[in-house]
Amino acid sequence: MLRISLLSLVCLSTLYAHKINLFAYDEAGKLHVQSYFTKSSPCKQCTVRLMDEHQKELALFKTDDEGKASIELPSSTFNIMVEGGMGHQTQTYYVAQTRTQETSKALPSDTPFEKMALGLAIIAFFFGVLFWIKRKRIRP
Amino acid sequence: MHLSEGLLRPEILMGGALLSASLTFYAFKTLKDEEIPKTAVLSALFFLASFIHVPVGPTSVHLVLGGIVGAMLGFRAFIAIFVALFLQGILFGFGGLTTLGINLFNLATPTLIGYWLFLLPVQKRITKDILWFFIGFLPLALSAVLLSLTLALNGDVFMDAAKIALLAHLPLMVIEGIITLLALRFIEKVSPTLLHVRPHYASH
Repeated sequence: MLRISLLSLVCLSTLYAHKINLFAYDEAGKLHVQSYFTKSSPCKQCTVRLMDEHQKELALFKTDDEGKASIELPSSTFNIMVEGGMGHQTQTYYVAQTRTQETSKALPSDTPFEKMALGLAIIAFFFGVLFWIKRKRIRP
Repeated sequence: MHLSEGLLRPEILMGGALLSASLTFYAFKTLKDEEIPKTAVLSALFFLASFIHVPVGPTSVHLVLGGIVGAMLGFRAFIAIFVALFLQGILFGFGGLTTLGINLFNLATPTLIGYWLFLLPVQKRITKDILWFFIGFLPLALSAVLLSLTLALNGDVFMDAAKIALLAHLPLMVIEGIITLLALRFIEKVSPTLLHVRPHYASH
């Protein structure tokens, strides 16, 4: 019963990354922004600020439920900041007539199993080395 | 729960880093070899817990499970959480290296409450269950308060984010309380010796 309850809680929840990703480009004088956490988690209704080099606010708007937003270009260069709430945010410097670099063609996976396995392997290795060092110190 | 880079004022980052570095260094220095396997397992648990997302209204929060880590490790929770947060930062970009100190302080310090609650001598089943529920509930509540305080200290513009952070974690506190209760009951059933935590973990 306990095992089933614990497993259900884990399985019913979806794996989720809470790093905000930002992709922006401009076309015909309009800036288009897309922000997302993972493939299936757009940054819904997130605040987007456009600021000049002195951090003066040029524009303030929100993304839609798909994490997208468009606005007239306020200047040729500016910073784009997306706030996902609770201390989650990302910022990038933008030059008009370009586009921000997409880290990969595919959006980040909801279940980054490879990286999770790598993390677990590093934890095992780190504590293994620590155990070996501590043991060595005890033995003369 | 993970504060992003480029968000906090340098003095908050420095303060958090100094406090966490001292506490983690002390935990490493006094760590005994027989405590390492359990610390590693709970570090892995903490590392994975952050990937389990619980939707709360328009926002979402993730599991922390700091209470169970603190209950079973005491002061060694600083080591387990430090390693897990470091890996989450470099592999997934959760939090970051500059915010590692303040995130560690906000998440690891409250786990000591879980440890102290776990040491309370209780015999009755119902009292034990209530206590184990609060081992999950209270550390997360304090972490949410510390997160909100950090955001509030950062400036008035973060006051709304601070309030949201506190409110969004309320349902998760109950969920973590239930998970901690079920997990501790499961461990008690299959391997009760794992729950024999020595009182001196907290002091040295």
